[in-house]
Amino acid sequence: MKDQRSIGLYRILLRLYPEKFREEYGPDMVLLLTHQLREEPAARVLSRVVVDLALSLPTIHLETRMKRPSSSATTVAFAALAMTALTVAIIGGSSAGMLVIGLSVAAASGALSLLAWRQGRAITNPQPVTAQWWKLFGGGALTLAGVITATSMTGEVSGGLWIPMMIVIALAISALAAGSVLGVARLNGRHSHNVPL
Amino acid sequence: MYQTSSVTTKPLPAASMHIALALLDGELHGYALMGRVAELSDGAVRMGPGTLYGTLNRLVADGLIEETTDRISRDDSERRRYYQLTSTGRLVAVDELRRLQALVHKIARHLPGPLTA
Repeated sequence: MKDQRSIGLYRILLRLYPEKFREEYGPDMVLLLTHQLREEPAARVLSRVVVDLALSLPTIHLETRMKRPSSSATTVAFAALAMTALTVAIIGGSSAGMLVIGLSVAAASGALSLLAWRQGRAITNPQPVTAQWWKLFGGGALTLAGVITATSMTGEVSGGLWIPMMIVIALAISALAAGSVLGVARLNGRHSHNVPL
Repeated sequence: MYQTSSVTTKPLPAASMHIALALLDGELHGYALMGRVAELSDGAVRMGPGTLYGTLNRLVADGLIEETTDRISRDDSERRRYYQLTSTGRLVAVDELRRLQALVHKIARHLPGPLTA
């Protein structure tokens, strides 16, 4: 009876662990505690459980958080920020401060985007190409918006910087167009024969 | 994934080391593993369920141990999962054992007298 109460209490305490971990190991942990309670006094087992919770909870929560895949939205947002910052650096190239800030932000956000992409790629399941339409569309739209905002804020673009800026705009428009085509294809269910959309 | 080399591996954290060494004899389920760790350490190391399964989870993710199929058919409430070292895990565990042996050997060699408390 006393053991049943201890196990009931432990089941409640298990809720402190991350859900995924609890689903995976919860039944085994309860079974293990049941065996311990059969062989040792409940007070000793429960006092060990308290120490065990204090030691294992922070680590398991931290590990679960670190393993969580970054969302595709993070990748797209950082990529768009990198493109925008690059545009700012190009447009404001005549000012040293603007150039340094623009390039620094572009490099940092580009690295973060790459990191988020790699992390997400390693963990999430592969998806059909058409499911990625919004990344291209969103990335293109955000970059175009960034370029327009940056241009209106910094004023005139100096002569030699038109070409790189046009390349950025062309890439953004291409991404926007490709995203639109894939989005329409997805809506039409054109690729729905073998892969889930 | 845990990186191994033919020469040496990084030392494992204490709980991982105890589990890896306990599994050198063969596969064990959670409770037996806990008992084996306590037995090997003369009762000095007694892991709680959170520490045990948290460490097992980490070792599985690192590719050092793997879950094996249930060896004894039981009802669902009594199901048991067995764990065993992978080939990489065995290399790491043997490395860990060698490291401990070398440490004990060196310390014993440099002590002036017999080992008394």
